Amino acid sequence: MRKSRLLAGVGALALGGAMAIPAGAQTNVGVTLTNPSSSRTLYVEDMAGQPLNTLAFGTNRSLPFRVRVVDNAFSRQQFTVNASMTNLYVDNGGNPDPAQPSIPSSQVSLGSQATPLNILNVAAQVQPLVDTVSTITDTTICSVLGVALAPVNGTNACQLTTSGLTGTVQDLTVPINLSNLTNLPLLPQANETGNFPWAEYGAGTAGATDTAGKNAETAASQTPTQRRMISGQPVSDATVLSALDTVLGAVPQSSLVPTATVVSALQSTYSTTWGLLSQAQITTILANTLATAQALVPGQILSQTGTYMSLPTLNVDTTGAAAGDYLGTLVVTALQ
Amino acid sequence: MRRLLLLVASGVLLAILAGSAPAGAIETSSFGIDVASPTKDGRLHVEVRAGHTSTTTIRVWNKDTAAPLTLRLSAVPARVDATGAASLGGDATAVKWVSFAVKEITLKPGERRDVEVRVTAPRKIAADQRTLAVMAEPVIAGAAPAVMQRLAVTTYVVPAHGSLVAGLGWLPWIALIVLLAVAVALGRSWLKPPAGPRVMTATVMAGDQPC
Repeated sequence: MRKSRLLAGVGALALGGAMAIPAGAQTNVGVTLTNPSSSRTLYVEDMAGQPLNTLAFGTNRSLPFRVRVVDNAFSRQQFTVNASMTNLYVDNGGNPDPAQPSIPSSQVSLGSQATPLNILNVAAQVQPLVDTVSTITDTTICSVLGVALAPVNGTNACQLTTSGLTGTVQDLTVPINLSNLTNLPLLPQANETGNFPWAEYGAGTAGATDTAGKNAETAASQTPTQRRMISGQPVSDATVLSALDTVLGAVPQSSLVPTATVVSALQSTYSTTWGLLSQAQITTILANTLATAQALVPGQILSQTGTYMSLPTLNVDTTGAAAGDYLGTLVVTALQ
Repeated sequence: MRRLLLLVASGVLLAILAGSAPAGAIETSSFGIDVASPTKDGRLHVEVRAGHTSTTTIRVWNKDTAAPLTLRLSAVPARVDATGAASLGGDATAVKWVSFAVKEITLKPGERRDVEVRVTAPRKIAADQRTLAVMAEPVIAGAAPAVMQRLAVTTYVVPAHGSLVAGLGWLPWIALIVLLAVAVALGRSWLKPPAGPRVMTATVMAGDQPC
């Protein structure tokens, strides 16, 4: 679907270019693109949807925020978003001061908001296989094609059948029920909760200059604690496929398979006599053709679209900390 | 005129490609990363041989069309569970084998670049597949940010069949040549008659007759 739209767009733009050129100079330029706009994008935001740029814990020492992963016609690949945390260092003129007592990362923890997960706009892009049955009461057509008449629902007719035609790619909207996510083709999981026993000291973070802390962690053979912020796992079980079949069943049958595909399949089946039919007779056949999608199999789910949102809180326990401003870095890593 | 039309079409194509992320890409609002050559699972798969360097390529890009962006590249431990779910942490063995053609790369506005990833296995490796993550993060001038976003691609390091121990190269041949040379020298000295002392003896016998 997306590819078709894109090709149409290229065609329209190319046409625009050609219109500015004298007719005699027109040249056809073949352009082929393959699924270029699929993407998976990570956002770390405050609750108003703005990029999270500060860690303002407030008087209750808790910062609600959200981690949003937006898939756009993305293949059903697993993803994980992890978080690690530096210690909180005393703010010394805008720079972290590791020489002064810090609030260790072990006193910083991830919690969950009342609704820990939200999901929006989920769709699956599927390409079904389609069967067709053309029920023809026109005896001439049946005779030309050499198909015997037989009673069909009380009427004498011949039936032309095709099976396993490659259907049109469908963008199926998947209903979302937050209390039961078993129908989703990519199953998201909200953030885990807990503190960060081992701190982040990576380059560019507030902990980068804390060489003593880093050395102590290395000496203990430890690495920064990673907490899951959100993850997604592809699911292709019967529940998911059945839910998609239900949505697919509501697609108008005229949209299931291109007319040209049906004609081509019938032409191939009745190759010796198809050429004897008039255009009007072919139109009659198509008008009496019923298309039905076969039950989906996992390989026919090409990609999925959706917004998967985890709603954690970042909490700090200031026990033992001196009053003042502190600096720290929350490191969020999306892993494909 | 035909060239003009070709240019128009090429421009349209380039504009579309530049404005879209590669298939399978993961992005933040400012940058993205992907395998340079598509793989079935969107992850890197590197086959290694003991004592040899294998290469693969990742693609990074700057989504900002107005400002350049510098990305820092690194390899970090990662693990993959039985369901295929990846997470950071775990065995760091193979992380030490990884290096990059450039550790920091500055991308022009909207620019996309491929970077070579090198995996140099030691002379003796286990048959187990190892996992790590190739990671990109923005280099931000000034104070450390409160929130840093990184992107990483899971990477499988797979020992090639029958290549867990590296060969010794020319060393055995050099050693053999040295051994042969030593053997020849020893053999020659052993076979050669002790000419000096015999001459001396003859001289002594001739010259000392007065005694």
